[in-house]
Amino acid sequence: MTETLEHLEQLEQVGPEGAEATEGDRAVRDMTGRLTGFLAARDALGGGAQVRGVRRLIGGYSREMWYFDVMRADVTESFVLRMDPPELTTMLVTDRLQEWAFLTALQAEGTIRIPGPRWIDERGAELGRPAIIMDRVPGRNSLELWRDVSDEDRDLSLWEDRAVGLAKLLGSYTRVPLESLPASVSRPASWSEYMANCEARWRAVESAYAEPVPLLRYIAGWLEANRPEPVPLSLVHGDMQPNNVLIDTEENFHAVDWEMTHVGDPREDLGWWLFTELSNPAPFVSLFLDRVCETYRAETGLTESQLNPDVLKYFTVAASLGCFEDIMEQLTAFTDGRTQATNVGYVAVALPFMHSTWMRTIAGFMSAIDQEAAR
Amino acid sequence: MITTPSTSQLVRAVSSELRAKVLPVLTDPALNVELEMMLSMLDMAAVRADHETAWMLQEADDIEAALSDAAAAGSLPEPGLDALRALQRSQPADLTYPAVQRHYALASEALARAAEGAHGGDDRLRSLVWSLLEGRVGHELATIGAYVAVGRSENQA
Repeated sequence: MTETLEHLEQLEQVGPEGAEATEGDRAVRDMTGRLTGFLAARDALGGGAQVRGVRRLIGGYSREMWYFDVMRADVTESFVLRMDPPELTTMLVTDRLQEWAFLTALQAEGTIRIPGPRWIDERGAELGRPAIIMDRVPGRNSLELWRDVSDEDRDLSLWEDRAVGLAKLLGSYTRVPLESLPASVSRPASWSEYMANCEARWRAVESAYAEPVPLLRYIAGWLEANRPEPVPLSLVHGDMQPNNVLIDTEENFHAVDWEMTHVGDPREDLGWWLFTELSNPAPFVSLFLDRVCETYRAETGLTESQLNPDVLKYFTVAASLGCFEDIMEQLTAFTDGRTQATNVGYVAVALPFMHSTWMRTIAGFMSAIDQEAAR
Repeated sequence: MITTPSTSQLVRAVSSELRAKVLPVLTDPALNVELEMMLSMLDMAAVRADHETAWMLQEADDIEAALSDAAAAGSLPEPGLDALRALQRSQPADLTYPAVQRHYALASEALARAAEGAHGGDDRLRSLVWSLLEGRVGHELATIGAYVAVGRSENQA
């Protein structure tokens, strides 16, 4: 749920002295002060360095995100602060410590380009709430790049290359040895056990909700009845969507926002990307899906029966689980009156879209099976 | 009681005024997103105010009729039969929201149990469940119109 669009950077400039301070001004002043104290306590502001350009990003539903720079003489370093939101005001509840453990492990392992993790305020004693600070990756996401040109002028061969680049990035996750991941990470004993556990989680989400949701029980049974061929378990990013992949000027791909990372079926990441393309304006993976599948198979050694567009329909539904179970938990809190946060209540508006998307995807999957059977 | 203007008209009026007069003058982007979300919620509430009770009763009737047919044909697994019987015994005491919601929850449970058994190889049951789910999600979609994820960067100009 990273927010990276340059034009979305909401630079909340501190107003001139004497001007009436807005809530945004106060927040920026407060954060600048906290960051200065935090970094000074870690000897990161030597040589007269100063914290500058603090601005909050708007555009995601998960963490509170800030950009800032540390400037000293003629050197400027840029950072991203990812902070827990106030309790029960987010759709996704994740753990900064776990994210930090993943980031540091992946950095040490070295296979995947990630933003370097720099500091953590584990309990939020200094920054206000638990937070991590990372290097700011110099890149733009595919949504920004897509919008750079009109539909008529868009160079589709470049986007085919980017689709291939994304497939290579996702394929690289499967090369991260599981033993290099933090010890605290759950490692399912087998693919079957993992899938069965995911199906049970779908049922648990439904069971914990305030009213019966027939579609969720249908999906749990559908996932169980239509499991694809197994593949080796691997690192899964868990929120692979356009906002979370930055492409630099050399066309290198950087994955950010590792808060939902886990060990699971690697096809989940492609499935979730395809789910998000159903509601965003840059569907370049869907446009070149055969090429993406071909590249991903070449990168991972999976067979065509293990990874093809129809199998990815399965994972377009299956991979929604991580995001969805947090969403339902928050909506339950809203229903129970434990929160009245707008962005939590707003989930009620998003749910029909998710339900409809799952149904269309399942219909497409079943149609493909019927066609195969008819041959 | 006075029924005009209707609940949905009142809600839509609030939504329209907020959109026209408050949204343009907000300078804090976080508040702007929050208000956009509130407006989406109000729009949904307006549609629900007009239709929700009728939709719940209609869906419950459709579920009861379809599952009764499935039960008569021997297609409905035992857990579904139990839930269907509970639904058949239910009648909303009145048309207040909680009474209708309780009745609808019984219908939802019956459909959910049928959905659990829909992948056991009985294509007729699967098709019936699917059709009922389509009706349900169709009503859900009617409450939101064209969904745009408010505040998400992909949907901002």
